[in-house]
Amino acid sequence: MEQSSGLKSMQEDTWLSENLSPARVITAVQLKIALKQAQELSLPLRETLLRLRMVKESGLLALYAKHFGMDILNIAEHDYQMVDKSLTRLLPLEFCLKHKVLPVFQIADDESRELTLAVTTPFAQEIIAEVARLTGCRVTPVLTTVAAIEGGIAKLY
Amino acid sequence: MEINIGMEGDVVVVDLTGDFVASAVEQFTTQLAKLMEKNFLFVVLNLDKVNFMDSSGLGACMAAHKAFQGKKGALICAKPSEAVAKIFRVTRADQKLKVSPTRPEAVKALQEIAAGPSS
Repeated sequence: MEQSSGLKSMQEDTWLSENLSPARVITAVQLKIALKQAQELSLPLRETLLRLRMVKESGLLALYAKHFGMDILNIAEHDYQMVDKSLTRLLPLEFCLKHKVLPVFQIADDESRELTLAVTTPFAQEIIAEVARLTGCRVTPVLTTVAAIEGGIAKLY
Repeated sequence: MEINIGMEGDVVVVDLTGDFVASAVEQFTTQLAKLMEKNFLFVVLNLDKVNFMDSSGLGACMAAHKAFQGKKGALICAKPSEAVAKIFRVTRADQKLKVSPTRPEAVKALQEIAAGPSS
């Protein structure tokens, strides 16, 4: 799991560098500047693009949602009221903080256990697989902002 | 949350208005238990005017669905608002609950179920 965060970031960087310009989210020149800056600061491309204000996180999530067929969920709505607070027992605080994930809903019956997991990126397959292993649930990821997850963790854990 | 209960033939229609959250669950559960006691076992849950649903509201819907099924009845969620439909989708509740796009379709489906298989 140590490697999965780095892998997730590399996959995301590659996808962004290949898709943002063709999708006309940023220009090829902006991408070049961002890539150079990311390298100089040793930061992921996503974070660099956000710092340079070349993209907004909401715009990035919308692009991911469209491309990867995922839902965006504003888990911070109504002061995190939609989040099932009892689910903090499922995943340790350290895991949620490190991987920026938060369990939101769980439904279970005799046939299956379904867990809805808030994530910040679609490139979290390994982490989702680990959550499935840890919880014994089938996991459905939903996209949300980093701030929403961090705020949720601070509020609920 | 406001709960209004009406009849359409043999089918009970429960109209919910407002936020379906933890504080509304007891009232909802009590009302549905009363229906069950009186042997009203075919229920449309109209979610058209529910703007927000939290995990407690979702859990209450799932529990009600299961309870009516257990009594050989049925509960159909009708016309969920966009917000509720999203919650049903991301939780995969829409694969466990019966969900109908309109209230009349839900009523018709339940009337058919209540009438039993045609000979």
